[in-house]
Amino acid sequence: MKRFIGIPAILAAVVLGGFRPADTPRKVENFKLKDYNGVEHSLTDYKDAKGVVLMFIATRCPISNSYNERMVALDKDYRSKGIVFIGINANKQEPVDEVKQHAKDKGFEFTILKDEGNVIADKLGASVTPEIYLLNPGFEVLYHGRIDDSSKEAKVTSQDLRRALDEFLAGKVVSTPETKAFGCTIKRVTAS
Amino acid sequence: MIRLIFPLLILFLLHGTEHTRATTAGAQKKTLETLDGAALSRLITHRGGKALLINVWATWCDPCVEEFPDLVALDREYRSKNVDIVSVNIDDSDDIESKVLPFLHSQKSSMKTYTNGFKKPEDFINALNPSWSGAVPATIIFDSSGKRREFLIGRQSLDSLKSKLAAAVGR
Repeated sequence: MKRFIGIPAILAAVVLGGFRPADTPRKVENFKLKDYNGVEHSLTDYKDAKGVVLMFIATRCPISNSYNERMVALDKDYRSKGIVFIGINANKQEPVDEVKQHAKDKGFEFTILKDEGNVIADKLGASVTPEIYLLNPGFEVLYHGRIDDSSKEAKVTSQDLRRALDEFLAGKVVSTPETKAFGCTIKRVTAS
Repeated sequence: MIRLIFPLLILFLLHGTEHTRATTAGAQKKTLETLDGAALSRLITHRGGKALLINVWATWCDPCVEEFPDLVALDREYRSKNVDIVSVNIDDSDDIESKVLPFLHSQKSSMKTYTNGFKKPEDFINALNPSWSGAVPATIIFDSSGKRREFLIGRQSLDSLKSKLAAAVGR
Protein backbone atom coordinates (compact mmCIF):
# COMPACT_ATOMS: atom_id res chain seq x y z
CA MET A 1 0.00 0.00 0.00
CA LYS A 2 2.81 2.37 0.90
CA ARG A 3 4.26 1.84 -2.58
CA PHE A 4 1.01 3.03 -4.18
CA ILE A 5 0.94 6.14 -2.04
CA GLY A 6 4.58 6.91 -2.78
CA ILE A 7 4.38 6.72 -6.57
CA PRO A 8 1.63 9.35 -6.98
CA ALA A 9 3.51 11.59 -4.58
CA ILE A 10 6.66 11.38 -6.67
CA LEU A 11 4.69 11.91 -9.88
CA ALA A 12 3.00 14.95 -8.39
CA ALA A 13 6.36 16.38 -7.41
CA VAL A 14 7.67 15.87 -10.95
CA VAL A 15 4.57 17.37 -12.55
CA LEU A 16 4.69 20.39 -10.28
CA GLY A 17 8.29 20.93 -11.19
CA GLY A 18 9.51 20.79 -7.65
CA PHE A 19 11.45 17.56 -7.99
CA ARG A 20 15.04 17.63 -9.06
CA PRO A 21 17.79 15.37 -7.86
CA ALA A 22 20.12 17.34 -5.63
CA ASP A 23 23.10 16.97 -7.96
CA THR A 24 21.28 17.93 -11.18
CA PRO A 25 22.41 21.39 -12.29
CA ARG A 26 19.78 23.98 -12.98
CA LYS A 27 19.48 24.92 -16.66
CA VAL A 28 19.26 28.50 -17.88
CA GLU A 29 16.73 28.98 -20.67
CA ASN A 30 17.79 30.90 -23.75
CA PHE A 31 17.32 34.65 -23.56
CA LYS A 32 17.94 37.66 -25.77
CA LEU A 33 19.28 41.00 -24.60
CA LYS A 34 20.87 43.99 -26.30
CA ASP A 35 24.36 45.14 -25.50
CA TYR A 36 25.19 48.81 -24.87
CA ASN A 37 25.56 49.36 -28.61
CA GLY A 38 22.06 48.08 -29.28
CA VAL A 39 23.22 44.76 -30.76
CA GLU A 40 21.06 41.82 -29.76
CA HIS A 41 22.71 38.75 -28.23
CA SER A 42 21.17 35.35 -27.54
CA LEU A 43 22.60 32.97 -25.00
CA THR A 44 22.62 30.38 -27.79
CA ASP A 45 25.08 32.59 -29.70
CA TYR A 46 27.63 31.15 -27.26
CA LYS A 47 26.72 27.48 -27.51
CA ASP A 48 30.13 26.66 -28.98
CA ALA A 49 32.03 28.18 -26.06
CA LYS A 50 33.53 25.80 -23.53
CA GLY A 51 31.68 27.72 -20.87
CA VAL A 52 29.88 30.99 -20.26
CA VAL A 53 30.25 33.21 -17.21
CA LEU A 54 27.31 35.54 -16.64
CA MET A 55 28.21 38.38 -14.31
CA PHE A 56 25.52 40.66 -12.88
CA ILE A 57 27.41 43.89 -12.39
CA ALA A 58 26.74 47.54 -11.70
CA THR A 59 28.24 50.91 -12.53
CA ARG A 60 27.52 52.54 -9.16
CA CYS A 61 27.89 49.70 -6.65
CA PRO A 62 31.19 50.07 -4.78
CA ILE A 63 31.43 46.33 -4.22
CA SER A 64 30.89 45.55 -7.90
CA ASN A 65 33.37 48.28 -8.78
CA SER A 66 35.94 46.84 -6.41
CA TYR A 67 35.97 43.81 -8.71
CA ASN A 68 36.49 45.71 -11.99
CA GLU A 69 40.17 44.88 -12.33
CA ARG A 70 39.60 41.30 -11.25
CA MET A 71 36.87 40.88 -13.87
CA VAL A 72 39.20 42.22 -16.54
CA ALA A 73 41.89 39.76 -15.39
CA LEU A 74 39.47 36.83 -15.34
CA ASP A 75 38.29 37.62 -18.86
CA LYS A 76 41.89 37.90 -20.04
CA ASP A 77 43.02 34.71 -18.32
CA TYR A 78 40.14 32.46 -19.39
CA ARG A 79 39.19 33.84 -22.83
CA SER A 80 41.99 31.86 -24.45
CA LYS A 81 40.70 28.76 -22.70
CA GLY A 82 37.33 29.04 -24.40
CA ILE A 83 35.37 30.73 -21.63
CA VAL A 84 33.11 33.63 -22.61
CA PHE A 85 32.48 36.32 -20.00
CA ILE A 86 29.27 38.33 -20.31
CA GLY A 87 28.34 41.19 -18.02
CA ILE A 88 24.68 41.91 -17.38
CA ASN A 89 23.50 45.22 -15.98
CA ALA A 90 19.96 44.94 -14.58
CA ASN A 91 19.93 48.07 -12.44
CA LYS A 92 17.07 50.35 -13.38
CA GLN A 93 18.90 53.53 -12.38
CA GLU A 94 21.95 52.81 -14.54
CA PRO A 95 21.10 53.77 -18.14
CA VAL A 96 22.72 52.10 -21.11
CA ASP A 97 24.91 55.12 -21.93
CA GLU A 98 26.31 54.98 -18.41
CA VAL A 99 26.96 51.26 -18.77
CA LYS A 100 28.84 51.91 -22.02
CA GLN A 101 30.94 54.70 -20.54
CA HIS A 102 31.68 52.65 -17.44
CA ALA A 103 32.83 49.72 -19.57
CA LYS A 104 35.09 52.03 -21.56
CA ASP A 105 36.51 53.67 -18.44
CA LYS A 106 37.21 50.34 -16.75
CA GLY A 107 38.65 48.61 -19.80
CA PHE A 108 36.00 45.88 -20.01
CA GLU A 109 36.50 43.95 -23.22
CA PHE A 110 33.74 41.45 -22.51
CA THR A 111 30.20 41.96 -23.79
CA ILE A 112 27.85 43.79 -21.44
CA LEU A 113 24.12 43.33 -21.89
CA LYS A 114 21.49 45.69 -20.58
CA ASP A 115 18.69 43.80 -18.85
CA GLU A 116 15.94 46.40 -19.18
CA GLY A 117 13.14 45.64 -16.76
CA ASN A 118 15.39 43.13 -14.95
CA VAL A 119 13.68 40.31 -16.83
CA ILE A 120 16.69 38.01 -16.91
CA ALA A 121 17.70 38.87 -13.35
CA ASP A 122 14.20 37.81 -12.30
CA LYS A 123 14.37 34.58 -14.31
CA LEU A 124 17.72 33.64 -12.83
CA GLY A 125 16.89 34.94 -9.38
CA ALA A 126 19.92 37.24 -9.37
CA SER A 127 19.62 39.79 -6.60
CA VAL A 128 23.04 41.24 -5.88
CA THR A 129 26.06 42.72 -7.64
CA PRO A 130 28.43 41.21 -8.40
CA GLU A 131 26.72 37.82 -8.81
CA ILE A 132 28.14 35.08 -11.01
CA TYR A 133 26.71 32.14 -12.95
CA LEU A 134 29.10 29.71 -14.64
CA LEU A 135 27.34 27.73 -17.36
CA ASN A 136 28.49 24.71 -19.33
CA PRO A 137 27.75 24.46 -23.09
CA GLY A 138 24.33 23.04 -22.22
CA PHE A 139 23.77 26.21 -20.17
CA GLU A 140 23.53 24.32 -16.92
CA VAL A 141 24.62 26.28 -13.86
CA LEU A 142 27.82 24.72 -12.54
CA TYR A 143 28.69 27.53 -10.17
CA HIS A 144 26.66 30.36 -8.69
CA GLY A 145 27.82 33.04 -6.30
CA ARG A 146 30.72 35.36 -5.72
CA ILE A 147 33.97 36.00 -7.56
CA ASP A 148 36.01 35.54 -4.40
CA ASP A 149 35.64 36.03 -0.68
CA SER A 150 36.71 39.65 -0.19
CA SER A 151 35.96 42.92 -1.91
CA LYS A 152 39.48 43.93 -0.86
CA GLU A 153 41.79 42.00 -3.14
CA ALA A 154 44.61 41.87 -0.61
CA LYS A 155 42.33 40.00 1.81
CA VAL A 156 41.13 37.30 -0.60
CA THR A 157 41.61 33.80 0.76
CA SER A 158 39.30 31.88 -1.57
CA GLN A 159 39.31 32.36 -5.34
CA ASP A 160 35.91 30.76 -5.77
CA LEU A 161 35.20 31.54 -9.43
CA ARG A 162 38.73 30.70 -10.56
CA ARG A 163 38.60 27.43 -8.68
CA ALA A 164 35.24 26.56 -10.27
CA LEU A 165 36.55 27.45 -13.74
CA ASP A 166 39.74 25.43 -13.27
CA GLU A 167 37.84 22.41 -12.02
CA PHE A 168 35.33 22.65 -14.86
CA LEU A 169 38.06 23.03 -17.51
CA ALA A 170 39.90 20.06 -16.01
CA GLY A 171 36.77 17.96 -16.42
CA LYS A 172 36.18 17.75 -12.68
CA VAL A 173 33.00 18.34 -10.75
CA VAL A 174 32.90 21.86 -9.33
CA SER A 175 33.62 21.24 -5.68
CA THR A 176 31.80 24.29 -4.31
CA PRO A 177 28.91 25.05 -6.66
CA GLU A 178 27.31 27.72 -4.49
CA THR A 179 28.82 30.60 -2.51
CA LYS A 180 27.55 33.88 -1.08
CA ALA A 181 28.86 37.33 -0.34
CA PHE A 182 27.51 40.69 0.66
CA GLY A 183 26.79 43.06 -2.19
CA CYS A 184 24.48 45.75 -3.51
CA THR A 185 20.89 44.91 -4.29
CA ILE A 186 19.96 44.90 -7.97
CA LYS A 187 17.69 47.92 -8.24
CA ARG A 188 14.65 46.45 -9.91
CA VAL A 189 11.83 48.05 -11.85
CA THR A 190 9.44 46.23 -9.57
CA ALA A 191 10.41 45.59 -5.98
CA SER A 192 10.88 41.90 -5.28
CA MET B 1 62.42 82.82 20.82
CA ILE B 2 59.44 82.87 18.44
CA ARG B 3 61.37 80.50 16.20
CA LEU B 4 61.50 78.03 19.09
CA ILE B 5 57.96 78.48 20.41
CA PHE B 6 56.19 78.28 17.07
CA PRO B 7 57.31 74.72 16.16
CA LEU B 8 56.57 73.60 19.71
CA LEU B 9 53.10 75.11 19.48
CA ILE B 10 52.47 73.28 16.18
CA LEU B 11 53.68 70.03 17.71
CA PHE B 12 51.44 70.53 20.73
CA LEU B 13 48.40 71.23 18.57
CA LEU B 14 49.04 68.22 16.34
CA HIS B 15 49.46 65.96 19.33
CA GLY B 16 46.30 67.32 20.88
CA THR B 17 44.32 66.69 17.69
CA GLU B 18 45.54 63.13 17.39
CA HIS B 19 44.82 62.45 21.03
CA THR B 20 41.29 63.78 20.74
CA ARG B 21 40.68 61.72 17.61
CA ALA B 22 42.00 58.58 19.26
CA THR B 23 39.97 59.15 22.40
CA THR B 24 36.78 59.84 20.46
CA ALA B 25 37.27 56.85 18.24
CA GLY B 26 38.14 54.70 21.22
CA ALA B 27 35.05 55.79 23.10
CA GLN B 28 32.84 55.07 20.11
CA LYS B 29 34.55 51.80 19.41
CA LYS B 30 33.41 50.46 22.78
CA THR B 31 29.83 50.66 21.53
CA LEU B 32 30.56 48.41 18.53
CA GLU B 33 30.50 44.88 19.78
CA THR B 34 31.27 41.99 17.51
CA LEU B 35 28.38 39.76 16.56
CA ASP B 36 29.37 36.15 16.04
CA GLY B 37 27.20 33.05 15.86
CA ALA B 38 26.78 32.65 19.59
CA ALA B 39 25.99 36.33 20.11
CA LEU B 40 23.47 36.30 17.24
CA SER B 41 21.78 33.24 18.68
CA ARG B 42 21.57 34.88 22.10
CA LEU B 43 20.26 38.08 20.59
CA ILE B 44 17.45 36.28 18.79
CA THR B 45 16.46 33.78 21.44
CA HIS B 46 16.90 35.72 24.69
CA ARG B 47 14.13 38.18 23.97
CA GLY B 48 12.86 38.91 27.46
CA GLY B 49 9.43 39.69 26.08
CA LYS B 50 10.70 42.14 23.46
CA ALA B 51 10.46 42.03 19.68
CA LEU B 52 13.65 42.57 17.70
CA LEU B 53 14.58 44.39 14.49
CA ILE B 54 18.00 43.70 12.98
CA ASN B 55 19.23 45.89 10.14
CA VAL B 56 22.27 44.73 8.16
CA TRP B 57 24.05 47.60 6.44
CA ALA B 58 27.30 49.04 5.12
CA THR B 59 28.64 52.52 4.47
CA TRP B 60 29.34 51.54 0.83
CA CYS B 61 25.65 50.77 0.33
CA ASP B 62 23.72 53.89 -0.71
CA PRO B 63 20.24 52.58 0.16
CA CYS B 64 21.58 51.55 3.59
CA VAL B 65 22.92 55.04 4.20
CA GLU B 66 19.65 56.59 3.02
CA GLU B 67 17.62 54.30 5.26
CA PHE B 68 19.75 54.74 8.36
CA PRO B 69 18.16 57.94 9.74
CA ASP B 70 14.80 56.13 9.81
CA LEU B 71 16.32 53.34 11.88
CA VAL B 72 17.84 55.83 14.30
CA ALA B 73 14.40 57.43 14.64
CA LEU B 74 12.75 54.03 15.12
CA ASP B 75 15.25 53.16 17.82
CA ARG B 76 14.39 56.33 19.71
CA GLU B 77 10.66 55.82 19.30
CA TYR B 78 10.47 52.11 20.08
CA ARG B 79 13.03 51.84 22.86
CA SER B 80 10.26 52.12 25.43
CA LYS B 81 7.81 49.99 23.43
CA ASN B 82 9.07 46.46 23.91
CA VAL B 83 11.21 46.45 20.77
CA ASP B 84 14.99 46.20 20.48
CA ILE B 85 16.38 47.80 17.35
CA VAL B 86 19.95 46.91 16.45
CA SER B 87 22.14 47.20 13.40
CA VAL B 88 24.95 45.01 12.15
CA ASN B 89 27.57 46.71 10.05
CA ILE B 90 29.31 44.61 7.39
CA ASP B 91 32.00 47.04 6.25
CA ASP B 92 35.48 45.60 6.04
CA SER B 93 37.20 45.66 9.44
CA ASP B 94 39.76 48.10 8.03
CA ASP B 95 36.99 50.63 7.47
CA ILE B 96 35.37 50.62 10.92
CA GLU B 97 37.39 53.44 12.37
CA SER B 98 37.72 55.52 9.21
CA LYS B 99 34.19 55.15 7.84
CA VAL B 100 31.73 53.42 10.15
CA LEU B 101 32.38 55.28 13.39
CA PRO B 102 32.33 58.72 11.75
CA PHE B 103 29.11 57.79 9.98
CA LEU B 104 27.44 56.69 13.21
CA HIS B 105 28.65 59.87 14.85
CA SER B 106 27.20 61.98 12.03
CA GLN B 107 23.87 60.18 12.43
CA LYS B 108 23.85 60.81 16.19
CA SER B 109 22.98 57.15 16.49
CA SER B 110 22.47 55.67 19.91
CA MET B 111 21.17 52.45 18.35
CA LYS B 112 23.05 49.33 19.34
CA THR B 113 25.40 48.61 16.46
CA TYR B 114 27.50 45.49 16.01
CA THR B 115 30.25 44.62 13.59
CA ASN B 116 30.14 41.32 11.75
CA GLY B 117 32.12 38.78 13.73
CA PHE B 118 31.51 35.76 11.52
CA LYS B 119 34.64 34.39 9.86
CA LYS B 120 32.96 33.84 6.49
CA PRO B 121 30.30 36.10 4.98
CA GLU B 122 28.07 33.18 4.06
CA ASP B 123 28.07 31.96 7.66
CA PHE B 124 26.45 35.21 8.75
CA ILE B 125 24.13 35.27 5.72
CA ASN B 126 22.97 31.69 6.27
CA ALA B 127 22.60 32.18 10.02
CA LEU B 128 20.04 34.89 9.36
CA ASN B 129 18.36 33.27 6.37
CA PRO B 130 19.73 30.47 4.18
CA SER B 131 17.78 31.76 1.19
CA TRP B 132 19.24 35.27 1.47
CA SER B 133 21.76 36.16 -1.25
CA GLY B 134 23.62 38.71 0.87
CA ALA B 135 22.12 41.79 -0.80
CA VAL B 136 21.92 44.76 1.57
CA PRO B 137 20.26 46.52 3.21
CA ALA B 138 18.40 43.68 4.86
CA THR B 139 16.01 44.10 7.75
CA ILE B 140 14.81 41.19 9.82
CA ILE B 141 12.00 41.40 12.37
CA PHE B 142 11.56 38.81 15.11
CA ASP B 143 8.65 38.63 17.51
CA SER B 144 9.09 38.37 21.27
CA SER B 145 9.39 34.59 21.06
CA GLY B 146 12.36 34.91 18.70
CA LYS B 147 10.39 33.75 15.68
CA ARG B 148 11.33 35.48 12.42
CA ARG B 149 8.33 37.41 11.10
CA GLU B 150 9.81 39.51 8.30
CA PHE B 151 12.86 39.36 6.10
CA LEU B 152 13.05 42.52 4.02
CA ILE B 153 15.61 43.19 1.29
CA GLY B 154 16.33 46.73 0.13
CA ARG B 155 15.45 50.10 1.56
CA GLN B 156 12.20 50.14 3.50
CA SER B 157 9.96 53.10 4.17
CA LEU B 158 9.56 54.27 7.74
CA ASP B 159 5.80 53.67 7.60
CA SER B 160 6.29 50.13 6.34
CA LEU B 161 8.78 49.34 9.11
CA LYS B 162 6.44 50.78 11.73
CA SER B 163 3.48 48.73 10.55
CA LYS B 164 5.54 45.54 10.41
CA LEU B 165 6.96 46.20 13.86
CA ALA B 166 3.48 46.85 15.22
CA ALA B 167 2.35 43.52 13.81
CA ALA B 168 5.33 41.72 15.36
CA VAL B 169 4.75 43.35 18.76
CA GLY B 170 1.06 42.56 18.60
CA ARG B 171 1.52 38.87 18.00
